[in-house]
Amino acid sequence: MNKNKIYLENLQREASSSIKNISSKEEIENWRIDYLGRKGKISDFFQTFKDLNSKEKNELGSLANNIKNTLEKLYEEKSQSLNEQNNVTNEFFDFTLPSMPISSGSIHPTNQMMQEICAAFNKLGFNIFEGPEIESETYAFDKLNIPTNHPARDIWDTIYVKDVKEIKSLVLRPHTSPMQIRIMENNKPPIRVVIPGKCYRYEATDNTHEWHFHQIEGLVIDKNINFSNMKSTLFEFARIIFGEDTKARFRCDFFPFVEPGAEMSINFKQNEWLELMGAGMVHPKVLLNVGLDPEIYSGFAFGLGIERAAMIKYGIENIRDFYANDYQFLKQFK
Amino acid sequence: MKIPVSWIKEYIEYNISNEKIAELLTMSGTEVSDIIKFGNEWDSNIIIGEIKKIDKHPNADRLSLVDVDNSQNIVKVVCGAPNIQVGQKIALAQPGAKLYNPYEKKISVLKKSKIRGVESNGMICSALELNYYDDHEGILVLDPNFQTGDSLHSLLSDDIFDFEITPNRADCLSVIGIIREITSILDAQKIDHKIIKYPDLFPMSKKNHLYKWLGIPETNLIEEENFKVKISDNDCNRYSGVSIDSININESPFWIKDKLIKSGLRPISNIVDITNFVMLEFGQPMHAFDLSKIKTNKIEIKKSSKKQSFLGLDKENRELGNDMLTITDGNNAIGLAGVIGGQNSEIDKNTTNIFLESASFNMANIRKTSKNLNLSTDASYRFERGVANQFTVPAIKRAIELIKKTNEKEIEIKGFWDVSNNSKVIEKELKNSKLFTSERYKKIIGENITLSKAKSIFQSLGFAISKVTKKKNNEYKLELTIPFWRNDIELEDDLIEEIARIIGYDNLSSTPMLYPENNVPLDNNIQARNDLRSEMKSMGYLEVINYPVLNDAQYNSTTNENIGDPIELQNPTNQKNKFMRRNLRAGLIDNLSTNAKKYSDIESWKFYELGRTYSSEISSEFKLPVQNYSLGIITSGNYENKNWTNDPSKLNFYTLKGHVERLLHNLRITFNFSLNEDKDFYTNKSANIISNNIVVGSIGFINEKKLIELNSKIKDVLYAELNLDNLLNNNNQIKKYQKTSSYPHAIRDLSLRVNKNVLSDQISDIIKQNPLVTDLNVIDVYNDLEPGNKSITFRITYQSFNETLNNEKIDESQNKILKKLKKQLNIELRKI
Repeated sequence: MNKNKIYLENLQREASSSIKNISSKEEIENWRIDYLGRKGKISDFFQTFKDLNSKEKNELGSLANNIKNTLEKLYEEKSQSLNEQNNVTNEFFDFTLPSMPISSGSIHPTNQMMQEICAAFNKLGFNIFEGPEIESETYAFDKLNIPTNHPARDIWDTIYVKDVKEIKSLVLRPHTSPMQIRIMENNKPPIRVVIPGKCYRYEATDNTHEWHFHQIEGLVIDKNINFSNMKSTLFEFARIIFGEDTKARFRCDFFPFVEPGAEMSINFKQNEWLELMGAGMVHPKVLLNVGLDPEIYSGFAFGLGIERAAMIKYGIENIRDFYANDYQFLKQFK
Repeated sequence: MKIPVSWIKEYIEYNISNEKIAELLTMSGTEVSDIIKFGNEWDSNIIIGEIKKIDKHPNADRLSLVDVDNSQNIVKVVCGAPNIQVGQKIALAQPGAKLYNPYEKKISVLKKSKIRGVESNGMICSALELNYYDDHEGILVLDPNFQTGDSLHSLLSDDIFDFEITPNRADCLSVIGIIREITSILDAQKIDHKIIKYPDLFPMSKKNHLYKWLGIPETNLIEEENFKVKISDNDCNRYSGVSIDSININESPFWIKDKLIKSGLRPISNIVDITNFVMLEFGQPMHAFDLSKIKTNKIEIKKSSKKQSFLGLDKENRELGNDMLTITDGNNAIGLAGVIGGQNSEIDKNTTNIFLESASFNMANIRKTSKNLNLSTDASYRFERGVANQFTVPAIKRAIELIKKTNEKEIEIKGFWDVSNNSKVIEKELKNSKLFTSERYKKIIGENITLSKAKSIFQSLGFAISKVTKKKNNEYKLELTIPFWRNDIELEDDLIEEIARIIGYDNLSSTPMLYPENNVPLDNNIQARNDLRSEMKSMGYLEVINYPVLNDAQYNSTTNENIGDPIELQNPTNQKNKFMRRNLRAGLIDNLSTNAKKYSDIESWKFYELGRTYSSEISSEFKLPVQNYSLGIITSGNYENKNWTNDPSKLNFYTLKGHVERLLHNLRITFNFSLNEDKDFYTNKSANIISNNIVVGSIGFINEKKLIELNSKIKDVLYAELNLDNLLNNNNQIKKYQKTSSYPHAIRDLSLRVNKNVLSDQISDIIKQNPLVTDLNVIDVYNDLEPGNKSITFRITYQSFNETLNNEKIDESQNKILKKLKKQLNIELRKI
């Protein structure tokens, strides 16, 4: 018994002193295996227990357990201090190496701009709607106060669609404005919506023109909506998208479905006025076309080109870049 | 439309910069899109000279040695132009002058030089060398009244306003139209200005008054008897004309040519130039016929008969449709009304007797003709926008004035005609009155306008105020007569715009609006599509947007034959790409192959498009073709690009399947995969995606044959497409909460020997039927077991809600599973 006790005490002394000289992770691991491992010295000692009587078992067992706990504690302390040392003093670490390539995809700049603009209008109380791209001429023009053979039609060089079954007079919508009519026909005021979507024009493509582009249309109809509200709302929108310091100005312009008609330009960094959108008070004839009394209801409508907004905001110079779908262009819009 | 500022300033004087005027015009709706600094590059070395003497060059037959008076000296200049004459005022470029070299197409500095042995002290310039006009036939002969020695810049440089006139403002398509706008803007802005002259617009139609006003002597009007003018179609509102004899056809004087050139028109001959001059000035297009070529002594305006061919002044032969309005000699067309004159009655250098036409037509008819013939002229452009009927006679007066001023001989007026079948239309233009109320203005604009301000703005724009009614609370009502040139004023709101635009929109108030109590509801699918984009982005896919049109080959290669007729465009921008896509395949394959070709270093390709496809089915909602959204995904190469941290693995079917499943889970859609029988677009490594018993998409490797058809060099391409409208309208399943068990779970692996043709789903469906199985995964598939068989290892999670499972319980369940598998699929445990 005494021999065993002495053995244990020596073991503790030896372990405690040898751990002091340890300076590497490898050494501490060896120390642990030597004393605390499955086949280490403490384990070995417990192996001898089967030869002892129960009293000895109790005494030596609790002593051995105490020593084991002490050594474990020493081990923990030493490895922690070694870890700390390693953290501060260890070898050169190159944190600049490229990361594991978890490729991040993109949302097309047109759609990013569209989402951003929709979110801005949503903030201002507008709901979001969509409508058909293959549209009837009636909705694309006639109901918007753009009669056949009227020179105003020249504003929209239109791509026509051959009859589909019994459906005639189809066009690829040249603007998102037909949805003004569809929304007013199917909903009662108050109306406050924006309608994003693709549009098409029969037009040669150059740096600033695309035959295929995106617009966002806006429509507000209620009992007491006026030009002053339009100015305020569109200005507020411009500030959300282009920054608090953005200036906006409005000039007279012509679109057959609004009167008075306007165009808004913004000035947000280059001290240069950039045309951003067409707008105006919904034309009384348009209101009558959808069965609303212009003496009671009034409202405003507006439309802007998404690509144009994106070009202004992201500094893209050539609209043709949008639909070339080039890898290097697309991957920038993470 | 271009107008030189110098022309404007012949009518009105003001003392603000051209830039400021341009801005004021633009803000009020008359957009000046550009200010052209015409002749800005002419430096002080280009001066007016006079040709004093012309000698032959001693060493060259085609060259002359010219003495030019530059006001200080007589300088000798070598010149090769055929049109030089003694006494001409010309532009002399002296050594040091910067000039445009039309041969080298660049600016260079002129040096004193010897030409064929004789020193030349400068150059007599052509119009092209001055960049004045594209004429290089000879030297530019200037106005004889120009002062020798003056710089060309001081006499001829100009600011030219380039206007973008909106289609409603036909009245602005002229110098006097712009003058009217400038006048009222300057009035409203309280900027000093002075009218120098008013255009003479006597609009009355009483004939005896007219002669006097026109300055036509009422004797000697012999043509009026012989020559008949007849309107036989109501699309001609008014036809006025004058016949003039003793005309000399010649070049126009310099001051007329200068105005035309600066306005972007080509000088032709004195009479044609005068008709164009009047059109630019008054907005009334005119046409001059050689009267001697109208043998029938008759002009009749009528619709063309079918199948008539017509040779225009532009030397183009056109087939006329039967609804086109023509000017005829009674039998044959001599002009296409409002569009272009005919060659058969053209003015030539021998013409002495002319008929000047000044007419007004139905704007829609002119537009139709112009559109159908694809022929737009300065005349048709104005007529289709609307030229007031009142302008015909004032334009004639102005033309006579100009001809008198410039014709070598005294002219003889032989007759005057002013025909109209529908005098009511003409009178109505003069008596068009509208009401303006302060209440409506406030309702639309959101602020008040004082009576005095409204009155002064309307008056400055030419509106006559016939009655003012004052009401209580300072409200009032104005009865206004619309100026005859304003065909755009139809409603009270048009009057409101007049006030608002002249005040300036920027000077109007700005007031936030209140939020509405209720509103049109949100379209949920838009949010779902945005979520899909974010999801695709996070999985590393780049979003593309393709043109939704396909050419023949693309359409046929990617479209199932029995899907119905394609939607075809009538006038596509590219004649080849005329079919609307039915799916997103062709575009994405093209994106992949184009980029893979360009960026050969990239190993991992992932693209998606979320866009519409167009079907010839008709939707019940709008009675339009169905235009649903689809999501197309294309991927090829490795899962990631290689770098030092990884050893990239090749993409396979199950990678894309995993991506698709993740999307569908996010959309809360229950789905499964089924056998895909379309072995045309896909290889056999493909599947259909099913939800609510309908096919909502497909996934698999693209058949190599298709890639070759679509000129793609890249191989091993994975593709998936989901029909989102089918999906999103079915995603109303609400996920129920699943209770979790507090007892520990146990894991068992089960390696099975399976016939090669058995699907893993068939096995897992059976395993999952066991109530203790809570999860299951396939951890190994080994195909080379023995002929006809494969091995699949399932890792099965067992768990109970009532107890801790012991080995016996688990073995019991596993045996039940094995029994079922044996019975239903003849599957056994794999013998190791």
